[in-house]
Amino acid sequence: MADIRQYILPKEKLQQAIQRLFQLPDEVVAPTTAPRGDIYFQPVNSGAEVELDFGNSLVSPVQCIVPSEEVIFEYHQREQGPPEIVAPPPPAPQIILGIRPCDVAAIQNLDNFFIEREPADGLYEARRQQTTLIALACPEPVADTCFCTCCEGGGLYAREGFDVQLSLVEGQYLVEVATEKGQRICQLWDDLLSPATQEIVEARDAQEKKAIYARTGPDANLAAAIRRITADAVNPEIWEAVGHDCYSCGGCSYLCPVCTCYDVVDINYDEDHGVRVRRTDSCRLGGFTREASGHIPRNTAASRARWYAYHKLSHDYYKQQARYGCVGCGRCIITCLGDIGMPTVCKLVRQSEAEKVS
Amino acid sequence: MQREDYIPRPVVIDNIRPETLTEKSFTLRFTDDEPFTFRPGQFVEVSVLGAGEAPFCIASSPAQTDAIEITVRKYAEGMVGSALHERQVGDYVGVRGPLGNPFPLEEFEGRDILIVAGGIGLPAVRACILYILDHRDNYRNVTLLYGARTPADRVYEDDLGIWEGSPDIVCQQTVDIADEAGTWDGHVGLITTLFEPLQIDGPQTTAIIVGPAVMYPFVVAECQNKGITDENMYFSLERHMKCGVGKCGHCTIGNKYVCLDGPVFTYAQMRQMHDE
Ligand code: SF4
Ligand code: SF4
Ligand code: FES
Repeated sequence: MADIRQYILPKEKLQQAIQRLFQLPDEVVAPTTAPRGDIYFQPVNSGAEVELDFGNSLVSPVQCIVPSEEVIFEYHQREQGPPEIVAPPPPAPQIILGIRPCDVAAIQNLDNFFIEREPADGLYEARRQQTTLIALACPEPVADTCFCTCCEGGGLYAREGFDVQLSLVEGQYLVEVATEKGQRICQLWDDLLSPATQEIVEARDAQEKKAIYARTGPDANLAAAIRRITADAVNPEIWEAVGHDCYSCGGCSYLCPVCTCYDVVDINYDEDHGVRVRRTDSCRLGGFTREASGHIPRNTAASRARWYAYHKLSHDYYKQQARYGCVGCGRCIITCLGDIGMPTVCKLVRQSEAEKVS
Repeated sequence: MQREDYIPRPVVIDNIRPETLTEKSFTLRFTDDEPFTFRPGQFVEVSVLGAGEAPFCIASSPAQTDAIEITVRKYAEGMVGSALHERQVGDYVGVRGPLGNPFPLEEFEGRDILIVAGGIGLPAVRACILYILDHRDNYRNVTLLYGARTPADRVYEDDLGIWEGSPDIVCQQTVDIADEAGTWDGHVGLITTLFEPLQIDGPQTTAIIVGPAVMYPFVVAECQNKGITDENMYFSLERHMKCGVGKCGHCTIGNKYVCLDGPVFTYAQMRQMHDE
């Protein structure tokens, strides 16, 4: 925290501050309101389109870094000689404005997974380097499905991982700048900012504490579930039960900002020209592990439910990814048809009578 | 830092050799001037543009650096394998790799080597066999047990013939079912039936085992019977590896990514995998 600089931005200056972002060459992606009221992140051209008084979007803005489909390369077969393979153009710079702390934490997971754990994923790394995060802290849990405070390093404001963070405290914004990318934003706001006071920083902590004590949201208690799952001390009946209620629709993992699995497909435009793309895939779908022979190693919903929890919450994977795979955004609770979002599964695991499987 | 951009290197098909009714071997020659170096047990992702990419183990000798050989089975559901089977000599395809961890053959020096291959598992150990024969003095007794369903299902028949006649390697074959024509005068029976008469110095032996997964429990039991330890049994595991670099998530077993942590694992490691 030592090198985070803190300032105050008066609430009435926020619009002005946002408007100045458009002076930069970066594309600005921000939360907007759809005609029927849903919030979704998309590129905007003016501050007027931005909606900062919102819960969280159903689709995470992480999609701006890990799109649901992206081109790996384009190819042209030729009469003679090897085909021509063209890599996509380098990504343009973008600012994600209004990203919530849970999604910032998710990006830290993704950085560990796609960049730190070698080999680095060239496509992710290129887009990530061009991305500036202006996080928006939550004054209180913004939806009754939120449980970030049960998760590793989670909280109503991000402790790290952002470039700039805005926290609304007692009618003004506490502005934090953590990186050089963030510094570039702050320079735009030079005349709007004043140094932060100790009071406002402490007031934010007090505000967070109060909100945590008052919250009535789902109780995930991930830590206890993590211990059970790591020790493989979960009664197999739990996975059978979760599998029974799972429709294998993939919704949980498609919406999960931490999930990374993808499929690779060639799309032919014509006989000798096409693209290879990768698309978000889901380990909850029946055919996810299908091999060329047709054999499917994880062929039951129960085995996939077990795997999903294991991959996200076991210490074995923590060792590889340096973070647990759930940030408490609650999206799987919202989307699941079977009412088996992460907190429900954790609860079942905690309550399961300990029984060593092997 | 290592970085993967998923762009294949162009290779030209130099030779196609039918092995069985459903399997063909392809020689893929690199057309850029960079030497291709790998170690036995590593695999490549082979691209057929328009059909996709799929993993294949490298069956050729690591001493060769301008081309590799792969053996491809055609499955109804395997898009890349089917597309490869339709390619001709002179066609271009793509290769990414080498990927994954090899068999640690240097660590096996001074030991007896027992190689057990079932069916299409032979290509996966062929690079090992060729490497060991190239460095024959570094190893003690070398034995290959090969089992196929029928005589016609055997791959790399020419090699098998050479190895059977070689003083450097003991090569024993068996088929589950002899063909009707009665031309097979070799051993008939499951691969496990080759173990019984074998004289093996168990604690001194390292086993390399590749084949269909159904054969593993039986082969493990035979190896254990002969006194080979779990730490000295090496397998090469198969999964649908789409990226080969630990990112797409398709190859996981328990706490391991087969592509990144394997595909070579010891039996001791496999027992710790925590899987369903
Ligand atoms: S598992 Fe559910 S709550 Fe956790 S990060 Fe993923 S979608 Fe959000
Ligand atoms: S959202 Fe619910 S029903 Fe759908 S795959 Fe996930 S757990 Fe199963
Ligand atoms: S093949 Fe993609 S993660 Fe292993």
